Amino acid sequence: MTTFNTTKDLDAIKAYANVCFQCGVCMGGCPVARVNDRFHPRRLIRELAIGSSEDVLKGETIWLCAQCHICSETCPQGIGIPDLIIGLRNFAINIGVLPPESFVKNVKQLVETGRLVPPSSRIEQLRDRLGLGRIEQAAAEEVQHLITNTKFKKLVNSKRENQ
Amino acid sequence: MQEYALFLGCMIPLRLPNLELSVRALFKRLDIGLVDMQEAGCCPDVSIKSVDQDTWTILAARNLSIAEGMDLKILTMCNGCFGTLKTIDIALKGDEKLKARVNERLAVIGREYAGTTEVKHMVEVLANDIGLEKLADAVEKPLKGLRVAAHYGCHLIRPNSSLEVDDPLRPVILDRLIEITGAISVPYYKKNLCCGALVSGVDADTGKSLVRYKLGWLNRAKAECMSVVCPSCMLQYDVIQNLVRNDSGERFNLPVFYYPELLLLAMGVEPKELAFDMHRTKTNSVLGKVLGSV
Amino acid sequence: MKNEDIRIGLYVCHCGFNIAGVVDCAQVAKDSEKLLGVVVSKDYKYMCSDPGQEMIRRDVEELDLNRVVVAACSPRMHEVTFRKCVESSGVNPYLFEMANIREMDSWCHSHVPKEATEKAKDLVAMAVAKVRFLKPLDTLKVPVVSKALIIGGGVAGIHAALDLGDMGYQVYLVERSTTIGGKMAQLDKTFPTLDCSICILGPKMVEIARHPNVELITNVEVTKVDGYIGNFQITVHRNPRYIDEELCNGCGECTKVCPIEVPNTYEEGLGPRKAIYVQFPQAIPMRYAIDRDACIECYKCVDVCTEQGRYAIDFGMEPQDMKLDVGTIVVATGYDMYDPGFIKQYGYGVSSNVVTALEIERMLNAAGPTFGRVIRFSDRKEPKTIAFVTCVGSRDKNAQIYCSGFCCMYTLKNAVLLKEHFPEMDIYIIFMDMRTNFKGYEEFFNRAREMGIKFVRGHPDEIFEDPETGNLILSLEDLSKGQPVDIEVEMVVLSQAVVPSKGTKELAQILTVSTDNSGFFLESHPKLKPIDSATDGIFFAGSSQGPKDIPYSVAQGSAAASRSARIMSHDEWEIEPIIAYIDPKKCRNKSVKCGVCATKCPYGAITVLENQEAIVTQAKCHGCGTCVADCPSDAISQQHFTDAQINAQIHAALDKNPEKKILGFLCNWCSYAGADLAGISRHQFPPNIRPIRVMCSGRVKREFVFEAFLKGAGMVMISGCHPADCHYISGNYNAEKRIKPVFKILENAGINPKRLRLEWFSAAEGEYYARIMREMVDFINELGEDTIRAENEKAKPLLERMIKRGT
Repeated sequence: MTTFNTTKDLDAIKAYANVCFQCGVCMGGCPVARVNDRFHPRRLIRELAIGSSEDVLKGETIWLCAQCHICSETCPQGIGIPDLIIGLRNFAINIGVLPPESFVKNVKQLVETGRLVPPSSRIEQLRDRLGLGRIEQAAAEEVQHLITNTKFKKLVNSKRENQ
Repeated sequence: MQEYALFLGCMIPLRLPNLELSVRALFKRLDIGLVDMQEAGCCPDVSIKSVDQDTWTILAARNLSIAEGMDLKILTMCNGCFGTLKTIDIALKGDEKLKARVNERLAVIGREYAGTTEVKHMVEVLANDIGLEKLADAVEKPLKGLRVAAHYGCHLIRPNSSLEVDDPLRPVILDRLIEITGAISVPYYKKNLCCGALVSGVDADTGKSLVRYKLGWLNRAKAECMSVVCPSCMLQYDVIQNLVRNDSGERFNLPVFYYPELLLLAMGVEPKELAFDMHRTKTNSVLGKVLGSV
Repeated sequence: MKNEDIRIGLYVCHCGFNIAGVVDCAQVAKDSEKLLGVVVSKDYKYMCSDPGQEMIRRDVEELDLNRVVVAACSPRMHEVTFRKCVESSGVNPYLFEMANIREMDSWCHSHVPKEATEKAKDLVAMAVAKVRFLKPLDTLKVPVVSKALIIGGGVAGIHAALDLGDMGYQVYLVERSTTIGGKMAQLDKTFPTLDCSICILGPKMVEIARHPNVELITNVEVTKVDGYIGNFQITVHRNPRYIDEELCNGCGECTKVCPIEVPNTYEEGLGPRKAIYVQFPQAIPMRYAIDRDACIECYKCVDVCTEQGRYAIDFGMEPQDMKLDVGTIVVATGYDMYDPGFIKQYGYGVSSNVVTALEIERMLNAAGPTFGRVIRFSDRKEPKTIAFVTCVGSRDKNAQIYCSGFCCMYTLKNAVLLKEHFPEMDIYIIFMDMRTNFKGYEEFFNRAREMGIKFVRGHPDEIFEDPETGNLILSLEDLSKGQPVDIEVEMVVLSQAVVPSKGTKELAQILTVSTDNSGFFLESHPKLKPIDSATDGIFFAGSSQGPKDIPYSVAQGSAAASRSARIMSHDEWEIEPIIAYIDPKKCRNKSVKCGVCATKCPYGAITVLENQEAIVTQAKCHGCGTCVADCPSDAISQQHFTDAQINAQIHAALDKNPEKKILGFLCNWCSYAGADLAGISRHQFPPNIRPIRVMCSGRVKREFVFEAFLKGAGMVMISGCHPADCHYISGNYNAEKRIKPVFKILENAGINPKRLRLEWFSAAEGEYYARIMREMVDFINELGEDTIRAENEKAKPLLERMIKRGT
């Protein structure tokens, strides 16, 4: 299994795709492939290895992975497919692809409050009822300092036309 | 008294506070102290990792450094938080260069990652630190052969090379925890199947189909309820269950419990103390069975 | 011989385009003309060919040459060829040296032809320098014992024994278990003819029992092997049967009365045997044995054997060690099956109705534990649907990376047999590929499909057992459809990987042979010497060397017999005279008690008596050179690998631009072979290394290291076999002990100790060698020539003192 710490080298990602011998074990265990025929990890790897990586980067497939890691645990060639997909996601955003709306929403929320879910009076009331204390927003400032990658800024300021 | 730094995360405190209640109640009863990591934020989530892995690493390292400052091991209540924090902790402990790069960035906010804490999922603390025997001793009202489908979720046990909690494809830890409550952990097909939380936001239909697919197999296995150990799994199965129908066009009506809730019931806690009304899928059938009343 | 008297013929081979495609052979030949002693320097397309060899012979005659250097492939390839050629032209064959400019140059530096050519010139200069110091040597002749030892009584070992026995040689066939027959005896039918396995094997087993030249010794382990080709002294440890084989006649009355039943491993644990037992009815020798772990010593068997008047049972039997003298050894130890329980998601050992290939083999067998009925373990019913899964644990980085070779065929065979017995049964074969490459195999695959066996291309990620029915659900992608599917069947058969036989690693150390990366015995050359081990006189046959089917195993058995007979058909065999000799004038044991050499020698080849010079028993010396390097008086020399010869190579290697170079000492058996393999596999790496071949890393003196740095080397590498695998048993241990303090010495002298490397890798690790080469070159580049030169300069005085002190 492999993890990618940099997003820069698409060739490194493709090198892993090369060893795939198309056995389909990943497909057997993949939850998304079971219920959605638009997601096909085996074909994704093949496309990377011998097809068009540009199609892969600009397509919707890479965003449908549930990151459950069944495929990487069972792959007889040891290909870390979920990590590969994260690498592709990073790379895609680098070249200007907009991630799904839910991801953008999360980014905006994280930058604003340091968490994925905004505080609300409703939640405060619920917590009160259950005898739980307040939730502090202590992380926000430090998180903002740490997020220096310009991709985040672009996403925070992005607006979707339709959808 | 043994203490842990409690990593709150996002989903539980701000969406499912009843799960937080059950965790606090359970560990109080087991005489374990939970000290909130007040300054911690999002672990962070996979959506952040999808944008930039380096940022994801640094934000996680920030959270780890907070626990280091408290000189306590981290206890997480969520698979996602566990997977993220432990993966980064292990990665940094094994790579001096990465650690140095991360600390360069953390220095900007006056923090440092030293590698002196450990990350544990509450399931590990229960089964390993406290021990199954001690937990079994605390059971006063065994759950009388209740047929529970254990759902491990994904980031508790995979990727195994980072997490090493249990076998990544045939784990047993949650099954054992369920068994000591007196319930039966039923075998069922596609037990490893992901709840789909991370794809639900991207494609709602896929999320629904995954819930439907899993619950179908649970039906075939004659499970009476499910037990999860992660708020995202909880949201998927408890909430989205109501948006799908089985093959006969009916609701699945399969209650979903967060494991601490089950153990607390077995320890004799009254259901009304655990706010089961906050579950979207009614739990009456199970509560009725094990307690003879609602 | 005075310098003027040395007349060297130098030949640079093109090897077609193998060398010439990268190295400018003409330029190398031309530039090397000026080397001291070279009289003629030519390049030619194929030196090993007839015309090539003829050219050498003609030049020797016409130009009065007395030494020859050929720059070509690895000496492990053609040194013997050219030595013969040189000898036939009248020059002593040991006045010949090769420069390896193929495996260690053109093949691994093909992207940098200019540098490769420069390296080739260095390698040629090194060979020429060494050849100038070489002395004529005579081969040693040793007598040959015309007896062979065959380890392992499976189908390969049996055929080797029969062939050798038929040729008139005395054969010891030793077998670990109580009967011969191996895995083939467990099979029901064999592919592709569907012959009954024990029916065709049984007569061969009986032949062994009856053969006048074959002595069958069962229930033994080989514990020690001493000696060398033609003269091996074997110690086997015989475990007691507690039955006297002479008195027992196999009547079987004892087993009838024995009250104890335990699982029979022959039946894969599916059927029982008694504590007093034979494994199966056709066992050879047909003699009983007592399993003392199971036996409760009720002595009912003794009673009944006494009644029969045979008195064959002897509880007092002790294990015994036997000594055998043989000339050759054949290793035919077979294989084991990988435990599919490791692949937890398939549920073997947890799900009742998931079985292995051998288990179903025993069930299919009419004389097996279920009398030919194939039944589910959960309810003893015959399955209506069954799925075979191939590649279980093979071709899998989480288990075994290799393909186990014959599983596709036995899967087809079992499926065909099942379909024949039960035409209504729904049979699936889940496969990634179908490997049916030999005679009749593809036709067999056709037959299986014609019978209506369902082939689904895919590989399951998990197999789930339905607790209510015992049925199994396989989750996989049906590749032909391109969709994930769930296939529910009543029984699953796993075709699991084949692994080396238990005890292979230990036996390899006892024999001083190598194993490959997967643990199977390593042959001398994968293409041209698949039967020979790297140790002369020891051969492999059958699956011990890698998974193979029955015809291949039989062929290898006969081949091993042939290779053995090749040696034993001579009264004498020639041994290379690369041995140690002690200069009696220098040996200080005469005046001061020493004897270090004798303690270092793993073969006991040196005798040291009080107040006398140490003496080497030539025939026992294997030529590692450890004593040479460890002698405190520098009194020992190794023929063909003298200090002068090695120093000459060091000087020639580091003559120009030494700072960029890695001077490497590579041991003949492992690291040199591994480096060759890197080239054969065309792994690419920068051409900085200048390799010097020694027989063993144990030969490497500290002074060589000091000399190399004195001459300006960038790095020095000493490499040998993995710690427990030294071809000479302890050479690498001694090397490590000797060289370890050198790191500190270098540091004190001002040299970065990381510029010296000790590396242990095997003949199978070409990729590893390429990797460390790249690492070392990165390191040299990082340091930079200036730093290296400065450090070397600073270290000069100390290094010179160290060398002086050593000599």
